[in-house]
Amino acid sequence: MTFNTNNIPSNGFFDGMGQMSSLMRNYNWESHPLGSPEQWSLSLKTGLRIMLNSAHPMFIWWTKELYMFHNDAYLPALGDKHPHALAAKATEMWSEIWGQIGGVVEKILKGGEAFYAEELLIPLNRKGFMEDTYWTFSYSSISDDDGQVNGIFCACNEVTETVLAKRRLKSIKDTIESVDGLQREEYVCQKVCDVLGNNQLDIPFSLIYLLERNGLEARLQGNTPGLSPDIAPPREMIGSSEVAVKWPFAKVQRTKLPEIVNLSDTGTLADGPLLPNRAIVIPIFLSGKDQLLGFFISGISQGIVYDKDYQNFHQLLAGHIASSITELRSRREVKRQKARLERFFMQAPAAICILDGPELVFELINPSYQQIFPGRDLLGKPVLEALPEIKGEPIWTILQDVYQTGKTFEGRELLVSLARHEEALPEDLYFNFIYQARYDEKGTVDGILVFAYEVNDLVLARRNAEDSEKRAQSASDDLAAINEELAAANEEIRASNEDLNDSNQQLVRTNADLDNFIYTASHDLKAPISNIEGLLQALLRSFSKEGLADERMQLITDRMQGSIDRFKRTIASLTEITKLQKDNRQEESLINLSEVIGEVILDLEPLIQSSKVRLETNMEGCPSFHFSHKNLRSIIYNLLSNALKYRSPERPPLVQIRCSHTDQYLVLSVQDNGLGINLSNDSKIFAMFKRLHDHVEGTGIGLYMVKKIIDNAGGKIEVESQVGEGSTFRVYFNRKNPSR
Amino acid sequence: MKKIAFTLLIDDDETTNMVNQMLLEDLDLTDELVIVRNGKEAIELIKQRSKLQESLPNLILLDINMPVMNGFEFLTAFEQLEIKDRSSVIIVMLTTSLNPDDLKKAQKTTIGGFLNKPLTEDELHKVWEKFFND
Repeated sequence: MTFNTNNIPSNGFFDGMGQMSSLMRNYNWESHPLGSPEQWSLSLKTGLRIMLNSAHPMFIWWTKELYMFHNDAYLPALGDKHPHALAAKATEMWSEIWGQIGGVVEKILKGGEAFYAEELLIPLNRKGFMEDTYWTFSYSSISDDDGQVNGIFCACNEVTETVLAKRRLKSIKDTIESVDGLQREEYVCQKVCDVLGNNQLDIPFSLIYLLERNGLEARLQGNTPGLSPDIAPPREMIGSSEVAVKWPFAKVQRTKLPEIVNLSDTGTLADGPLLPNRAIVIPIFLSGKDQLLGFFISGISQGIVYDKDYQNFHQLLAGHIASSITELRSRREVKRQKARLERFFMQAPAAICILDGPELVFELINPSYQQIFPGRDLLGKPVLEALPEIKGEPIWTILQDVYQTGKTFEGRELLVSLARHEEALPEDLYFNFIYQARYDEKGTVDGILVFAYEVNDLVLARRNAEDSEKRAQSASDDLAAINEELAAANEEIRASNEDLNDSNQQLVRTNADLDNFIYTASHDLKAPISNIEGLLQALLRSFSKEGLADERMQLITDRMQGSIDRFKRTIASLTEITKLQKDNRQEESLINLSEVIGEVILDLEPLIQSSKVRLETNMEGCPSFHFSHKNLRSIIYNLLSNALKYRSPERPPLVQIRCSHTDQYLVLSVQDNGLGINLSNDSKIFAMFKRLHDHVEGTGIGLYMVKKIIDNAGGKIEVESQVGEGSTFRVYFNRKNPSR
Repeated sequence: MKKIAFTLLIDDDETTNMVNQMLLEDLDLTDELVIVRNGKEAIELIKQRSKLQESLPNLILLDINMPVMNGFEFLTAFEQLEIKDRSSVIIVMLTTSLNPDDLKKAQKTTIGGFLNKPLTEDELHKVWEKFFND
């Protein structure tokens, strides 16, 4: 290398650390039409120097042959063309785009104005395929030393990334905006595909499949128009081995990862370029969840490297589709819930209303609430205006309290005075209710939710139950009182019984005393009477025979003796009676009634003879029975002797003794045709000492004794009689219960 | 009629005793007559007479109902006395009652008779006939 006096190395403009500097330095310029660099024009050299020094992509195409010179920064634009591109003809090297830029270059060579283009799509084959690249560049002329245009100077910038990013961002933005407000999933899907159809550079075609609810079928919901069903079948069964599937949905479903698919056939879009040879199937998930919604399929542009950015773009799109659908679904769900809520609200048997704002305006009223006030106009009115009568009521204070403090109020059986109709009088109504504060998004109270139900029936029922209880209680109290009275009465009865008992015992004692008295009396009476008798006898002995023969004397002494005898007989009867009382248990034996009667007849033989009575006995109807022999004799003796004693002088006496029996009794009847007895006016013929006839001797004790004996034996005695005709005495002997 | 040497009346009733005394006197049946008021007095008397070796009563007319010692009690006490010739004493019980229990009781003793008051001529005769007419 030699240095000239200009201090410019002969090849100095090739100085530099860069590749191109090096390449240029080492280039065999001799064999090049441009020749060695020393003879190059200054303009070129200057230009090259500037270019090589610059970090900005630049190139110089020199002469109309457009030999290429470029710096290191420009190398990416060349791609594979490097290093051959150096000093090659641009027309050759850039043949693929010469159609696009050739015209511009020619113009500038002919002296035209500089050309500036931004983001120009220049498909470049620098990586082995036709790549979409975007450049911002300016072509300007570069003059030779003689001032004539002899080349093209270009400063350029590859803006592919930016352009792609911008484009993709726009796609996303457009997609988002376009689906806003759409109500249905299929609209969303189709809209997305339509919008993406505007960016066929990134999205040559797009398909969106959504899973049917069963998860086994994917249905095409959106597609770039014009696609053949071959590539976009409307339905795909997932996991089906029978039907040939176009898309590997099953795999994607399983792996949950995007899958690149090579499209074997290339169909043609209706009005566009050929389908790309590849597409990507991206799973769409319900936002935030693991649930697969469907698949987003996008063609992969053959002109773009499927780098991270491109992939991200697809992912983003899939994500946005997912969000849209998720939002749609949740909105739908919300709507459904809202509808359900509203249905519930309207149909709820409880009264529900919403009071809005500090004025507590009736914002929402369900039918049950309105029913509480059937004729009242409530909706849209503040509560005080709609129900002015609550102003003085505790309810108004409570409402305000809830609104102020936000604390829920629960009330039970609150008595509220409300008028059901506009004109009606307020009634007392019972409510169970809840006032709950309603909050806005900021957390401030902006209303009150009212949930209430009338419990009049409940309260009434409970009151009724309480009343019933009270009544039952009072009834039971009454019962208790009655029971107490009964108990008291029982006590009294018991006391009376005790008294009776005492009386009974008293009576028994009295009876015993009486018996004793009678016994003692009769006993003590005997002595004096026997003395009188003895004295009478002694007196009689003191008379002489003549004295005794005195009629008057005889009369008196006879009468005296008679009285004494009667006295003695009475005492004897009394004694008998007391013996009867004392000695109740007579020995019983089996009685042959005929025999006993026979005995008595014998006893009464004298009287029977003297009375000349006709005695008839008929004992056939009499079975044997158990009785005290002695007592039976007494009875029969008494009855028969009475029958004989009280015979009528007017007719021959007839006494009939008969026997019959019933189930319970053996009946002995003694019938006479004697004087008869006047049974009227309460004549107590069975009473002691009761004598109805005076002319005949008798003590008046006989029938008393008979009755006593038979009564003691559980039987009875009856008498039939007619004065002047006779009497019939019937004695009933108790067969079943011989002893009492 | 052979007279009864010594008759003892045991009765608490004055009138009865008077009547019986009159009867005996009217019939002139006894030589000696003593009257005591109850069984105890009778026992004392008999004891004393026995001690004094005086004669025992040949006939005793014995009432049943007496204070201190009644008729039956006397009989029991009498049986227990140590005296000679008890069987020469004829005891006749006199009663106002016809109480069969008394009769039964009396039959268990060695009395000579059981009679109802008042003692009549007839009955007294019967007694004399039965026991003293030899």
